[in-house]
Amino acid sequence: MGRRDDPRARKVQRALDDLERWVRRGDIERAAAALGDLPAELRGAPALAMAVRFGAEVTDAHRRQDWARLAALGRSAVDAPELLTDDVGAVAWALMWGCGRVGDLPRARRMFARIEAETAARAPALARALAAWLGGGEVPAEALGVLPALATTPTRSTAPVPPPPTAPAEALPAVCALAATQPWAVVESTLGGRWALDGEVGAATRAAGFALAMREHLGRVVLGFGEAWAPLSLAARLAEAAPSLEAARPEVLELLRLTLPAAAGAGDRPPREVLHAVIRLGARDVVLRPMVLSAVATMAPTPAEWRARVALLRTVYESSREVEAWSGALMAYFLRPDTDDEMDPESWITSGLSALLASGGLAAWLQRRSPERDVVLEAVFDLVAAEDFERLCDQLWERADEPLRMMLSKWMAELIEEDPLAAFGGRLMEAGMLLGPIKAAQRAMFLRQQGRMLAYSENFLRLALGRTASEASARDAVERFVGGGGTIHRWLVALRFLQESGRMLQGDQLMEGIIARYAGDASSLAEAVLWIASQGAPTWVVAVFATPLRAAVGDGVMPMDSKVGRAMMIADEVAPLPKKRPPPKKKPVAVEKKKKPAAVEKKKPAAVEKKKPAAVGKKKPAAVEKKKKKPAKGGEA
Amino acid sequence: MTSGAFEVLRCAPTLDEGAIRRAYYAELRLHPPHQDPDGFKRLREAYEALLDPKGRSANFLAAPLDVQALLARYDAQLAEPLAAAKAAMSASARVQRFVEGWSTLSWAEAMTRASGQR
Repeated sequence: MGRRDDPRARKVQRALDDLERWVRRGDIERAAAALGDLPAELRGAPALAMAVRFGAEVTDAHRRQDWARLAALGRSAVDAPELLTDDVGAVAWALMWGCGRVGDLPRARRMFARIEAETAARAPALARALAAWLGGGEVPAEALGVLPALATTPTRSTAPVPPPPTAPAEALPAVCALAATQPWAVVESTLGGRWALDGEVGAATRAAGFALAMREHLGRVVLGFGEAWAPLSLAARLAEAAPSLEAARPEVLELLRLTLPAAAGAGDRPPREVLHAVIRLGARDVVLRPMVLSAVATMAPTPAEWRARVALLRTVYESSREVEAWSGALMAYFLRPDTDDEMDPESWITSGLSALLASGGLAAWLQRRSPERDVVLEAVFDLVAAEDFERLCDQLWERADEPLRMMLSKWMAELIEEDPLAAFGGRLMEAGMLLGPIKAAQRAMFLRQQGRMLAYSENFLRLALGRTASEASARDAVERFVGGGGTIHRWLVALRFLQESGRMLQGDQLMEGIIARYAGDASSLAEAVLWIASQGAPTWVVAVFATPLRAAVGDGVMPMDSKVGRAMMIADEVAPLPKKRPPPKKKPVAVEKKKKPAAVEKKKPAAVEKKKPAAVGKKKPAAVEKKKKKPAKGGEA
Repeated sequence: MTSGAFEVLRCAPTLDEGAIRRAYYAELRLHPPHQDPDGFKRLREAYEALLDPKGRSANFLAAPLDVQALLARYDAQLAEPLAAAKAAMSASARVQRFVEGWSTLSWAEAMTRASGQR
């Protein structure tokens, strides 16, 4: 009888064909059925080839908690036990639960049989509980005791939610009963809103709930289960519901210690909502706020992370109205790397600025000397309307230290001489003001501020000299400027501006005054020579200072000070001393020689030459240089 | 010094300045400057870092947190009432809780969890 006539051979061939087809098509279930149709002695090689794939299929179904699929795969595994050759424990465990959860207890028992010995050896309590459950009996309570805290709570529960506690002593048992019977989502919604958290009972419930949430989080961390941070959302909400900041402080401290270092680190970072909830909690407590602020500073430290930084600081600001948080966000925005990208700051920054201007909070913060102050002031200058900046100056001036007064004067001068349209922004233009009134407003601002700012800003002096035709006013402005104290540099600046404004006579008088004032002061005169030379002034101006410098240093004395030495070199270059004639030789009386013609007269030293008019320096002062393009002004008044 | 200052003072991480000062004086007796200049220098640096509010905050946050100990503290508070709550569950609720709880664990997770019973 041929092979075609042998029914057994035909059946085997059909099974082999089916197996090949279903494996090729990736249908592991049908392939397993075909494998089951093969005689046991022929299953070995194909089963071995399929086992890894079968195991992966089971693992995937288990991860998705697809119990029906697992039950179907369990049937295949019972029909073809050879499939369970790869990672038997994991595959049989998953199939056992799949079969058991759809009510196929016989097959579930078959799967359990594959792992019973190992389970009994490693976890006897669990093995007993599984045997009881698969045998249709009661599950002992001890099997629940070894469950992960709540990390694997069911997604649904048929058990009713226990009633809320009615006395403080009932709070802890009630919270634990809730945790024991309900999925975490129900625990969260019940403790996070359904059960009252005020009053004596509520306080006890809140405390028990916080402990439960913390235990759940820590349990998940220790056991390495997923979504470990989720319970901290509830913990943060419960800490927020504490009757006072003092009562919440120990809880908030624990939350801060768990989340902030993790957020700044490279490991498992808390999700945004948890991080911001904890930051909000810490920021509202004045004791913990500095810690939160310094921690936030380490979380998004680079300019590239400015958006994240602004978001964190916004959370701090909204909970605390802390100027430092607002100013940090303003700086992050102002120093962002993509400044070419025209964009306005977030609305909370501009509204925060208005609020802080109105409350005087910004003024108080700026009065404290901090490394960030200059940048913040510049950013504020860029953001606010001219009149608001002037109002800020008025708030600050009386209690401002000298560096701050210099900064304020610098920005006010820039505001006054800026293009009127840019300085006063669209707001006044929108209000229908013409260029004339805007210029008038700038002039009024100058007149209001020059009295106190003139002594602090050379730009104010330049403005003053440029805006007056009166010699008396000009003299008064110079006197007030140099009267502000300081070094010879102020005098030289005044000299330069006098010359620039064409007041040559006054300039000469001032120059004489400077030389008289600093006669004998080699260091100051050297500074003058160096500065004037660096400004590109004509050589005669340098030469005017070279002579008194030389006199102050002393003839033939080698200066020890390098500054004086450099100034002397410049002085020698622009105003060389006339060469000394050798002493005349005694002529023999007897021999009378013919007298030589007179020597060519030496050129007069440059120091004596006065080629007017010329300015001391022509460089534009740094403060006048326009900054980068500003965002549109016109913030709220 | 940004971390480890509490360890140098052998002081549990705290924001309480008084506790920090007490810990400093206690350690100062062990590291007097004339006998142990290096130890004193370390101690002084740590103390000064903790006196500064920002330094104290930074050190407090940077101090290692013993998660196991913290978990044990909450366990001690909750273990008994949780066990009582589980024991009080109905037979069907217990089966459901058992099945729902264990079935979602992988084999490896289950064995780790079950063999290290807390």
